[in-house]
Amino acid sequence: MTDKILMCRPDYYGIKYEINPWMDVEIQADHAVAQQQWENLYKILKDELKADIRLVKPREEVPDMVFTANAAVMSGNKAIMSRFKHPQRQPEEKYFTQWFRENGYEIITLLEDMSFEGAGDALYLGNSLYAGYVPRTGISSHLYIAELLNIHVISLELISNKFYHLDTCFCPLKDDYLIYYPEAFDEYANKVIKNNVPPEKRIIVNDEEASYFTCNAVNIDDAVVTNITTERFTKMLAERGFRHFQTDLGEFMKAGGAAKCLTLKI
Amino acid sequence: MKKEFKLRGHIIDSLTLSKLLDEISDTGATCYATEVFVGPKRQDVSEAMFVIEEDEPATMEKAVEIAKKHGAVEV
Repeated sequence: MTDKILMCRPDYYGIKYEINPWMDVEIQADHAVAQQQWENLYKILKDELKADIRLVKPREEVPDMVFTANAAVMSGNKAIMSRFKHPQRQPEEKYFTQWFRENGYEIITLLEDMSFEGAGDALYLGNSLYAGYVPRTGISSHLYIAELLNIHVISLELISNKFYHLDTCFCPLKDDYLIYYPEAFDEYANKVIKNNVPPEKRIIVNDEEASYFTCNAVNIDDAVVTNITTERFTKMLAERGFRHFQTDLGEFMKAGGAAKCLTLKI
Repeated sequence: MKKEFKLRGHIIDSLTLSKLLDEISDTGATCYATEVFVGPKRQDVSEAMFVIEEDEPATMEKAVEIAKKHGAVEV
C-alpha cells in the first residue's frame, strides 16, 4: 500500500523565534537552500519511494508549519489534533484542522489545558503508541488518547532539551525495528524500551548521529530517509535489510527539525 | 501534612507509578500507594491511589510538583 504523507512547502520558513536550543534568530536559514533541501526530500519520497504526497498551504504567520509531523497523530481516518505548547505555534492548529476537515478526516480535539504535539511526540511501534512527555507534551494527553482510542499508550520521559520531541530520538521502523538515542530518555524510559523491544531490533545511535537528527527519519517499506549522517549508521541499517537515503537538511536543523519533522503519515 | 493523589494510565507498563514513588521518596517525603488497580487487558488503563506525607512545606511542594509532572491528580 502506498504511504500517504502530508508536507508543507517552506515558503515562509525561517528562524523567527527561539523555542528550542537549536533555534537562534541570529543564525537564519538560507531561504533558497532550504527550498532546495525540501524539494530534494520531496523528490526522494515522491519519485524514488513512490509516496503519495499531499500538500497543505503554507501560511506566513507560522514559519514552523513546514514541520507537519506536529500537526496531529493519526488513527485510521481520525486526526487527533495537536495543542501546541508554545503560543508561536498555536495558530498552526486552525490551519491543520482546516486541511484535515476539508480532506475528509474525522477531527479529534484534546482538552484546552492539555499540551500535545502530534506525531512529534506519539509514534506507533507494534500494537502500542509510544508517547513522549515533559518538554512539549503533557502526560495527561497520553491517558486521554489511550481512553479515546482504546489503545495501549507507553509514556516515555524525555530529559534533554535538544531532543525535545520523541521523534528527534525515537523512530520505529518496519518489522518493529527501532532507531533510538538512549541518552535522550530517563532511566525508566530506557528500561521500558528494553522491556518492549528485543535487543536485535534496537538500532542505537551514538552522540554524533543523534546530533545530526538521525533518529528523525522517514521509513517507507525497507527505505529509511535521514539527514546526512554517518557510514556506521548506513551499515547498521544495511545489516538489518534497510536501504538508507541521505539528504542534506541542514537548513531545517537550524530550527530543530529534519526528515521526519517535515512529514506526517496520514 | 498529608495529600492524596490518583494516577491513571498505562502506569505499570510505562513504569510511571514506580518512577513517581521513587522520585517523591528521593525528596525526603514519605510516599506510598494505598490502592492499585491493574487494567485486565493490555489496552486497559490502570489506576493507583497514593499518599504523600511531609511536614516541611518546601519538600511537600517539590513532591507535589513531581506527582503532577507524571500525571497524578490530587483528590
